[in-house]
Amino acid sequence: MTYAVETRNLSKLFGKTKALSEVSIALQENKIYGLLGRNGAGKSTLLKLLTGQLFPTTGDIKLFGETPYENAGALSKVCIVRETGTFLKDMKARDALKVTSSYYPNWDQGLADRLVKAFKLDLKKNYKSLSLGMKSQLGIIVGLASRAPLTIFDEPYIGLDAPGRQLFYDLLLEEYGEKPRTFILSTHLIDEVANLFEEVIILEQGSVKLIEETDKIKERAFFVSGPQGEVERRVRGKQVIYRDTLGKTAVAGVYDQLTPEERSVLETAGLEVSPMPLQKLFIYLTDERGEGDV
Amino acid sequence: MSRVGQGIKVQYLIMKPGFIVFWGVILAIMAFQYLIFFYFTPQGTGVTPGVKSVVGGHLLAVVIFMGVATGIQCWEAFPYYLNLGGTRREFWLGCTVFNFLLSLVMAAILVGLSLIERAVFVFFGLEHSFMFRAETIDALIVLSTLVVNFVVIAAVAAGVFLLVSVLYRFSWKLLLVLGAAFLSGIMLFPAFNDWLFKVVEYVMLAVFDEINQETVMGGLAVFSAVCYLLAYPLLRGSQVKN
Repeated sequence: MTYAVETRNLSKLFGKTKALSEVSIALQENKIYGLLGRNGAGKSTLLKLLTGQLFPTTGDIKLFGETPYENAGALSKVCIVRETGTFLKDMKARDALKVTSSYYPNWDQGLADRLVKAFKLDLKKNYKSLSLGMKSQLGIIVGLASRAPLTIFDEPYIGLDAPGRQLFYDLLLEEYGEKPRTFILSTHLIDEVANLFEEVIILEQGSVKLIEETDKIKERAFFVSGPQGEVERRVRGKQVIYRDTLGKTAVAGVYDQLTPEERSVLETAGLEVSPMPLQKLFIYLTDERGEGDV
Repeated sequence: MSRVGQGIKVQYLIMKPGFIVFWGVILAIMAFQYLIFFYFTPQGTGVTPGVKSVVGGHLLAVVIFMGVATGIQCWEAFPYYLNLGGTRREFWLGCTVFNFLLSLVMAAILVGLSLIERAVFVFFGLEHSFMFRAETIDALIVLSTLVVNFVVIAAVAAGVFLLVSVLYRFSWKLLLVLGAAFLSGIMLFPAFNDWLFKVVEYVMLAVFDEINQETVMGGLAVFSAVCYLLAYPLLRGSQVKN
């Protein structure tokens, strides 16, 4: 099977600092992936490695079955939009779009024009004189109109206000429905985009902490709350990643398999079982003080 | 348009604002020069009594501009180009072609401006020490001046391109150490200067039979070619700064 992205034992050192360590992932075609991690977890390093901008210290990378290094064919299938570095500051927005469009064989100029109108973007302005929100809009237009089989958004929409971000999410889903392709969204705004992800990759200190389908995460990540003793007794043997108590009431955050029978037993025992939002799961898994080893 | 062609276009778009500002400044300086000569000075001829000679030409300004602009342009373009999905080979090829084209355009503009300046000053009967000092000039003189300017400008661009490639491949620290060692050698040890000159002379004489304007031009052309050839493997092994 050919994957959109496949890495094997990928590691990257900057001097003595280990930015990535033994990362092995296989991302399928036509899926939306969420790449999550705290600052410095190695997200941007991973994305730069995937796009051939950095060299791995060890390990292999394949994009659609080919190595990206000096491979124009493989690289033309990838569009990466980053918060910085996607555009030159002295370039007019119109020129930026023109130059960018020529690198992507599937570029849809009609879509680009529609998005420019939707965002009311002034293309005559220099990139550096655009507001933060407009810079984000330009990045979104490039990412969506590129129609690259692998489109990566590395936090480029951080400058958008809430309605702007919602517009982006709607456009992304619309585009995905019309022309399915592989999207990787690297973000800190997890709650907002959690519903978009089909699969989630969580990086922590350069290593993959979790890679799982969102539906499975929803099944496996849950809170159990109720009388402290009962909660402790019922979650024993499960992977508990969070604990809290308030008086005699306790809450346990669990990341583990929960069969319908087990759920029924918990509820019969008077315990409340509630879903754990993805953002909470991310926080517990990456909290250095916590118990979040999976 | 091919991807290399697009690379050249990227270089052009990066260079355009600096190019316009630079030539704008040069034209403004020329206009200011004429204003002083023909309006503010006595007798309306623009010449201080007793002085009938003027010095002009902008080759040094163009050389400095090319050095700085090529450095900035290549430094900025490399990560941008890789982010677009370009390869290092395409970047190298795009930079090489663009630098040659730009050097040619710069040399042509320089020659054109010098011809205009000469015509103006000859018209007013002033002596001058521009590029075209001969009493009469013909197409051959203009062409040879164009070639000399082009070779000099292109060599500067090539040298700076190699420098940027070294910076990307290695680090500022290494370059600073090498640069400091080189400058210290030149400033503190006259023998180093002599040795350096002899090395250049030896290399020149090994390639050419004698040292004159033609062989110096040939030497600069070889220098440019060597810079680009050395830059290629350096860029192939370079990655963006994290």
